[in-house]
Parts: sequence; structure tokens; C-alpha cells
Amino acid sequence: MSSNVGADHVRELPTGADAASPLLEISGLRVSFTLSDGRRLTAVDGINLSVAPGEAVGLAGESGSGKSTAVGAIMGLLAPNGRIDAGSIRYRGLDLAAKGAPLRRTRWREIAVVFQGSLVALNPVIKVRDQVAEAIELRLGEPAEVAHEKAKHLLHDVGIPEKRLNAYPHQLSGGQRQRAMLAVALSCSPAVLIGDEPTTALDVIVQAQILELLDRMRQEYGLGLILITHDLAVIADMCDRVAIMYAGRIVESGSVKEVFSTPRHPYTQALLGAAPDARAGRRIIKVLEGQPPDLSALPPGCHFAPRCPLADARCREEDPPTIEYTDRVALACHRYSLGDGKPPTPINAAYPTLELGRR
Amino acid sequence: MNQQPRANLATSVPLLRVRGVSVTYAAQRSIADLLARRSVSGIVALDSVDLDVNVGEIVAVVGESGSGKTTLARVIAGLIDADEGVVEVEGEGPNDWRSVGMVFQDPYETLDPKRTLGEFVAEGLEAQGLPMDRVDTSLEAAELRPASAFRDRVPEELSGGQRQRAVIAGALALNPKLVIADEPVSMLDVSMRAQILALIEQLRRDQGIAWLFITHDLSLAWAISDHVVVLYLGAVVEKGTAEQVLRNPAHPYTRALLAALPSTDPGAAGTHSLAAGEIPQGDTPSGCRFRNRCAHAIEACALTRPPLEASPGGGAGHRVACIRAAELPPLS
Repeated sequence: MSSNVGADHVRELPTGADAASPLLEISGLRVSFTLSDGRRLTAVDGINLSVAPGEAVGLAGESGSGKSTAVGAIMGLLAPNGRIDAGSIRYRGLDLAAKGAPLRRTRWREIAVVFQGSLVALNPVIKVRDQVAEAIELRLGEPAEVAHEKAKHLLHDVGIPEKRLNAYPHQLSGGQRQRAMLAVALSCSPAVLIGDEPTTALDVIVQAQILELLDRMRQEYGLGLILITHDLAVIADMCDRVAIMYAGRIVESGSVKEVFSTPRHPYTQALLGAAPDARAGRRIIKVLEGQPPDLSALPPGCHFAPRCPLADARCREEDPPTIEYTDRVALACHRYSLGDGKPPTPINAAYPTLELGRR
Repeated sequence: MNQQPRANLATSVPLLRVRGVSVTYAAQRSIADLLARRSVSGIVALDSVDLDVNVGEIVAVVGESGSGKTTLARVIAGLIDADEGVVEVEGEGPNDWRSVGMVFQDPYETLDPKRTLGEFVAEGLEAQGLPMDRVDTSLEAAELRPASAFRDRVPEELSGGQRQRAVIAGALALNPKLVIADEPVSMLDVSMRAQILALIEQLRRDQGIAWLFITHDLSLAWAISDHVVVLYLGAVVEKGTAEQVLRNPAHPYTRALLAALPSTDPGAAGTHSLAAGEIPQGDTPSGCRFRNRCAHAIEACALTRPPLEASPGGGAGHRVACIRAAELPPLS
């Protein structure tokens, strides 16, 4: 059963937005931070990303890849030393990256986010039902009675048992807290939901339950879902499209089916090969040596070149352009794009593999 | 692809022997309990756990949070006393060991942020009266090379993966035969994880070190271990070789863990939550601990604790604690 929020709700768009424009379209976004010693660090370096209603898009990368900074920019929640240097974040045509953008109006009401650490995101001294109701009162200006009724429906919808409505956050299990966070995020019927590592702190069975719930909410409410995670398997399970980030740039993007079955970028190949997989029975793993680069002292050329088994002189000197190939697969790799009109040659990066010695 | 024959690295020489280990944590009495002079039964963290690790073997203990896996690690490391049961390494009790190292999830549980890696490793050597020339060899054995580049660094100057290598170096300095690693890679990025797994495997191959690898991640257990032990609410519900437990799981809980695992494999169907709810935080259910989350539970499951028995149709050494194991449908 779906609650009274969502599907039948006629969206009143913020001034400057129009329903005919794409739901969310990020283009050429660059975000940097000023360090205490005055240097600037570019955490997000010209990314493109979009999501349509009812679509699920995964943004994958390791720590420091810039994926969470991208969320900060979309939500207008960058740290004080961070700023958007270039690019646009268009919500139904309205540029949220522009000076004076109505972020207070769009944050939570149009675009909401669920973070990883639900214990810190919920107020420990307020009952969960009151927290959801408060969010509705504050952000939508609903009278308390209506807000409480809505909160009850929402919490029911995300699977919080009736008898737990008046519990405090610490009285809930980890999975229940994440469900409550989802209720808070959905309380203003957003059109876009961002999950920033929403299941990373959870056990695997509870993770599966929360992912099932997210998927159901996406379908029921026609949400555009952006799922940010280091876990490619979660993206494989949940998303239509995927973008792989490394050191602030998207190195490969496309349909999940295409990217995961035929990874083209050497970094995508490494990431997909680095995780063992008990479901698929894969034990041999690829070992990617080295560390991600220091973002305040990036090497020229392809950021991945120092760790790439295929890198040549050009990779160390020139930035690889992002080129769109088949099935909307876009790729930033010199070794794949030959640039002279010839069809690209498939490459397969030779990583050392590890087969563990078992009896 | 060319499949090379696997090296026979694990031996059948017993190293760690855990028998009947039980730990009960005292429950907190509320004021109401005190006023009513009610006694409160303790929380059972471990219930009669048996476990063996042979020389050169890697054994994974898998379980969710609340399964008791960290308590087990700490009992085996001698950091917590068991209420009942025996823990022996080469026939000796915890007070006589020198040959057990410990690696925790968070390197800062072991590393002092103000001390250099050299000082950290030397401290352990000094305590055990071992020669100081082991500092550099230990750092390099943990792939922090050249040692001269790392000896004088403090933890803050290292990446997460390097910090975990430093902790491993500290353990290696003491010449361990067994290292207990409690979620050693769960805070690391996937590419760092692969590097640490490679290191663990290399130390087993080169130095014959056995590992007790404690993890919530079935895929890691699958990759690294010879044997797998599945813990649920403090008790072993299934054990066997990695192939037996993870390719042919017999307990509904192990099956639920596997089914919930997302996969990048195009052939794998989506995840399924086969088990309801979450690990109970309060009282342990009567009978089978898993029965109130289990899709196969019947009335008999509430009556007696199922013993750990030979798995029906499983190979030698595959054991499962489920009275319905023989009737479960084949896993799709």
C-alpha cells in the first residue's frame, strides 16, 4: 500500500524550473576546496551525470574519488572552504550551481539524501515519529496534526512497526534507523533521492532488505535515484546506469549491463576484478597496486596513469578526453580512443592476479 | 585460463584448539529490576564454541554484528576470559603464548598516533626480549619498503592500507604462528583490500603463518579461507571447508547470507532477503536461535537446541546445526 505522499501529489516546482526540462542534469561540474595552507584541491573535476524519473543511477568510486563531494554540491551542503568553480546542476532546468539559487527551496523538497551514518543524522532525544513530523511541518509548513498523520503513514510504508513509532533512535536497530532516515528523506515527497553509501554500515541481510525498500520506493514514487557507493555489486543489483569515478573525474559511464559485462577503462577492470564474489564463486582477484593520487598534487595527464599497466608517455602528459562509444558508454582513456578514425581496439589491462592457495 | 594446481599450504598439524568456549556478559539491571529485586539473566555472547586452526591454515569466522565473532577473537587473543571452555595454542594456555598476533579493524586500536612505526614495532620486540634488527625486516615483510622510508613516519602520514600494514608489521615482529585478524580490511577501499589479502596470503606462503580471519563479508571468506565457521548469536551453526559452506550451504542462515549478497556477475540474479528481521538484541530464542527469522522453521525448532551434526549429503567435516537440514530444498 502506498501512502498519501508521492504518486498523486502534483508537484509545484520552484520558480525558474519547468516540468518539460530533464529531472536532474549535472554538466561540467567542478568543485574545489581551499586547504589551510592556501592551496586549492579540486575534488570534482568536470563531471556529467543525469537521472530521469524512475531511473536508478550509480556513482561508484573509492574514498577520495569525489563522489560525496558531488552530493555536497547538489544539496548545497559543501563545507565552507568548498566552492563550485564551473559547471551546472540543473533541476528541471533550474541551475542549482548558480549564485543565488533557491537551495533552501529545493533541498529536501525536490532533492533529498540518505547518508550512511543514521545514528548521527537522527536527533537522539526526539522520538522517530516526531522527527519525521517535524521535517514535514518545517519544510512543507503543514499543521502539526496533518504532519503527524503523514509521518505515521510514511513510517509504516518504510517498514517501521507500529509499536516502534514512539521509540527513540537508540532503541531502534541499525536497519530500523536507516528506514527512519528514509522516511525523513521522503517526508517532503522529493523527486530525486540520493543515497550516499546508504547501506554501507549494515549487515548483508539487512542491506538486502533496505535495498529492496529503496527499489520499491523508486518504483512507487517514480523517484530519480542516485546511489553513491564503493560497492559495485550494490550498483549492479540496483541501477540502470553507472558512472565510475577516479580522482575527481568520471572515467567510464554507461548502462550497467554494458559497463559490467565489458568494462573498457583499465580502472573499471581493476575495480570489478578486485572484489572476490562468493555468489558467483569468483576467488581469483586482480590486485591494483599503489595508492590513489594526492588531489592537491595531481600528476599531469590521466590521473590513473601512475597505477595503470597500460599507460604510455601520452597518458602521463595529456588529459584523456571523454568520448562516447556504443550504447551510451562514455570513456576517458587514451589507450581505448585511437583518435584516427579507426574503430577502437578492445584492451584488457594486465593486472597481477591472486589465486589463494587452498587445499 | 590455465588453472595451476593449488599449493598445499595448510597442514593437518593442530595449532589453535578452542573447545566449549562460553562467555556471558552481565546484563545491566534497570532501576525497576533493582527495586523489584529481580535478577537479570546475562547476555550469552558465546555458547560452547569449538574451533580448530592448523599450522599454515586460514580459517574464516563469519557472522553479522551481534554474532559474537569479535568476542571470540578477543577470547582467543586472551583479552577476555572465557567463562567456560579451553583455548590452547600448541597445547599451551593464553599466559604462555608468544606466537599469537592480533590485527583489529581500526589500526588506531593498535597504533599510537604520536609514535613512529619504528618505535611501535620496537616496543613489541622489547617487551618480548627480541632483537631490534627485526624492526626493518618486519616492516618490509608487511610490504612497507624500503623500511627506511617508513621507520620514522607517524600513522597520520600513512594511507589507510599502509596503517593496516604497520599493524601487521607489529604482529610479524613477534614471529607469530597464528594471527587473529578481526575485520582487518573492512575499513579499506576495494583496491586496498586486495593488496592486504595478497599480503596475508604471501605471509602464509612464505612464513607458514596461520590466520583466523574474522569477517562479516562472505566474499572475503570465500577468497581467503580454507575453512569457514558461521556464527549466529554466539553459536556455531555451520562449519566446513570454504567450498562446502559457501558453495553448498546447509544452514538456512548461511543460505540467507549468501542470497543477500549482491554480485557484479551478470549471471547472478538479484539479491533476496530470505531471512526476516534482524539479529535479536535481547533474549536468545529457545531451541534454534535462528528460528524466528527462518522461513523453514517448524514447531520442533523451538524445543531443543539443534546439535552441530554431519551435514546431510555434505562431505567429510561439513557440519550443520539444523534439524531440517535434510529436508531443505536445493539452493537455486
